[in-house]
Amino acid sequence: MLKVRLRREPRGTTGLRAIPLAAGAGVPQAFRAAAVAARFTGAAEQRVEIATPEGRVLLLGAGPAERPLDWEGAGAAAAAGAARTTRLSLDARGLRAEAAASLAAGACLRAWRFDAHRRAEGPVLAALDLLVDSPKAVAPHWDRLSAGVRGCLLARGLTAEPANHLTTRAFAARLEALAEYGIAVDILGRKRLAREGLGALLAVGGGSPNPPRLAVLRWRGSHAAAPVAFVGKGICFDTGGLSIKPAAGMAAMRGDMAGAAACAGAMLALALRHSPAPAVAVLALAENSVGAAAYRPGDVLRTGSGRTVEVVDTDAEGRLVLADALHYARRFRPRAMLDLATLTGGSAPRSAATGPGSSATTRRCWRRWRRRGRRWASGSGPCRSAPGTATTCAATSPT
Amino acid sequence: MLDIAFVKPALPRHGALVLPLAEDAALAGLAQAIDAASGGAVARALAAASFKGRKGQSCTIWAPAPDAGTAKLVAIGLGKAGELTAEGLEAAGGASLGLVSAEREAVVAAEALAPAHAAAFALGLLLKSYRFDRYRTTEKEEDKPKLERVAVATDAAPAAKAAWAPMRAVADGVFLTRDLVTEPPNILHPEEMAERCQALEKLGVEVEVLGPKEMRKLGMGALLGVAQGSTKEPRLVVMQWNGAGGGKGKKASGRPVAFIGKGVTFDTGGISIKPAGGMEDMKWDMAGAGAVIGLMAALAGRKARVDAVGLVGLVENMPSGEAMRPGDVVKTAAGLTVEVINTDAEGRLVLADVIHYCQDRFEPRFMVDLATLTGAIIVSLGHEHAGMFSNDDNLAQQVAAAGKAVGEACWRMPLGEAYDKQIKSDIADMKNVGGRPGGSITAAQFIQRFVNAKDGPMPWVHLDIAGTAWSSKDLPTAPKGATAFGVRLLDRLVADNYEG
Repeated sequence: MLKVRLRREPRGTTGLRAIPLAAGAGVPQAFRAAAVAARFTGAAEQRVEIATPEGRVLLLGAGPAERPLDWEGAGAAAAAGAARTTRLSLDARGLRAEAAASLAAGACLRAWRFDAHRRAEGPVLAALDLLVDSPKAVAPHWDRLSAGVRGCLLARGLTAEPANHLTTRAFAARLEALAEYGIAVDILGRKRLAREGLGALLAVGGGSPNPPRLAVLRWRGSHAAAPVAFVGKGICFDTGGLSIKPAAGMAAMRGDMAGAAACAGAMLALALRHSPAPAVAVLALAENSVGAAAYRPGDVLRTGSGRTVEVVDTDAEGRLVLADALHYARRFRPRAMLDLATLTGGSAPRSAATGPGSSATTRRCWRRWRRRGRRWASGSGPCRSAPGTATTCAATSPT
Repeated sequence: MLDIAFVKPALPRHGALVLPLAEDAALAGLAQAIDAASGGAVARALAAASFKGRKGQSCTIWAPAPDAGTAKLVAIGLGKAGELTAEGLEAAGGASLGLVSAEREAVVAAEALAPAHAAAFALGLLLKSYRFDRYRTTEKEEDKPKLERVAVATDAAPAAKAAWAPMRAVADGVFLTRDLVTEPPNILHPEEMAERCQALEKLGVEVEVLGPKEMRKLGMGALLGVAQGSTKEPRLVVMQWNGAGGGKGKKASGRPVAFIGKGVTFDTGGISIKPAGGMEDMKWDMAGAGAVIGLMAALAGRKARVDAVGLVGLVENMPSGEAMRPGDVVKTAAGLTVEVINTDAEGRLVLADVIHYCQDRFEPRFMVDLATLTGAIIVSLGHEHAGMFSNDDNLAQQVAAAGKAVGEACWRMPLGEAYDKQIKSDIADMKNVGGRPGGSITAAQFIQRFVNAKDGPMPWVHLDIAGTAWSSKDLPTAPKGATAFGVRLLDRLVADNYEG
């Protein structure tokens, strides 16, 4: 993530300065002529670069600037325009503190790159100076937002990680590292899964030398209340199993653990901002492989709940692991359960247009989920312009 | 399993009364009694429903005679009285099952039927009542069938009982086969299936189980090649029933008859993997072996006066790092080499080794093998006939006749040198597929290459049951699912030609 500093004045004169402007807001005198010439009105996604003796200046349109998301979009545009520089100043002076924080969040989300397995060619944006009237007033807002951003970036990093690196064991190890933030992590291996009777998860993971795992993450919070439970599908790679997928496009199946990654990111966000709400995440990790011991179409599995499932297609494995994870999550007597899964090809066309497909068993739960979803927008704004990276964003903020 | 008894006629005080009625037959016996108790209402109701007793007709009357206590009367048409066949009565019995399964007890008024026909009606009813529900945990009590006991009312109860005893044993064999074929492949792998064979020892069958070590010693490179991709070990099970000398524990008195089954407990196709759609059906790729096991149980259960051996080759065909590849050359127990072109043509590889072992060890009078061998046979014959291939006209005729008698039809397909040429290999004695044209025939040609007795010809029939082992719809005497095709056919073959 970008190193973010809150400053009153730009540091030095060199580097790139970005000025986000709402639609109809006055452009600073020095750039007014250039803005008029470039037909800059402050509409969303507008971006004008002006060369000045003091360095490059970016004017960014924030559109109506009614929602935090508008400012996030402008921040993202600033980061996108700052390619091949290492430092960006984002001028939020004169803006509300919330808007300033949203600008930084958008910039951080957009500037993220998955560089674990390559060396960057040329300079990469690494630091952000957020210019504000009062750092003290903005800091609490930024602290709150940056927690969500870090959770989101954790999820993206996990999702983008190739399957030979992010095996079930490696995924579990990276989850265990979250203990440093005060999250209690418990990893169930084969033996305990068998003792719990989680036959569906065991079967799906049976064909791979990377053994299945159930990861349980707990955030205590400070309310004495039942936790909210996040349940995630974590198929580290999905070949489809014996009902094998076609070769074309199979590489994308390294991301079939995005649901689990999002849940983990959400837990990190809660911990970083010391949320008072207790939460638990139950993540079913497995690799769906073809192998000598792979589960077969026609197999009958006994799930943790005692109910049996006839497997007709081994590529419909997500619902099997979720069944066991949801069953396991019930022991925490959660107030509500939210499950996230890259579950079906049928949901993809819909989510592209309107957001992830969801269904819920109670209306209240569903309404809250929708409201949050609109407010936090799954990061789709800032992320849309970053092809090739995972667009997953944690549901950052229950309560 | 349903409890079936043969009793003296008496009106039931509760449950159902089943009336199997030939065309335009007058109500007699129990039928007449219930009609009388209803004050003639039964006859009027049947007439109002235009029930004439034609084949396939049925009529249900609720509480026909409130004072008699019978909850439900079910009339079943049998067709013309002069044209009754065992198969027709089985179908009528099967059809009546669905109409009475909600009652706990049923009485069949069979006084008008010959004892053998009364038993056939009961057999149809019993066979249709098969259900595989051991993995249902949430089924509601009211959704389960209730029928527990069927009493067949006949004046010739002893004769009907005598006809029934062997039928019951065969039905047991059929149910065993259906269980094996329906079991999911994570439960029924080769080791488990071999263990279930050992349960036949209770019936007096000698059971031997060979593992990979013994098979390696016997040089069964083809069977072992198929098995090597799976973590599940293969098994070869040899079952012997020596009934010619009177049964249990006796030595075989002469050359036995031999039955061989393909038992691929799950067939992914191996490295030549099958498409995902419909792959779950490959759990019943062991239906040939399932039929042989059920057949041995039937023969032993009814103490057939015959010496019979049943051999099943049990493997799982999986893709993995260890799996056999297309292009591999394997050496069979017969010493012949096979170039594996398609790992999904694995059934013939398994059969080659088992058939060779069978004739080498037992020198049987004849061999019949059963296998869900080719999809091509479904293209040729649909689900109505099994494909029959034979080198012996007499045996082929006997098999066809037995199949006709029990409603398991076979259709003879050709064999010939021109087909045999299709499986010539460039680098081995043969290859395991001969291309698309005549796919079932070239598969049979492959097997025939392993059929050769030391002295004189070896009569042999190969039944390709890929189209008949499983039914996607209800049949007259089987609910949809595993049919156990072959058990009754081969039991009948033995009963009609090889006992006494």
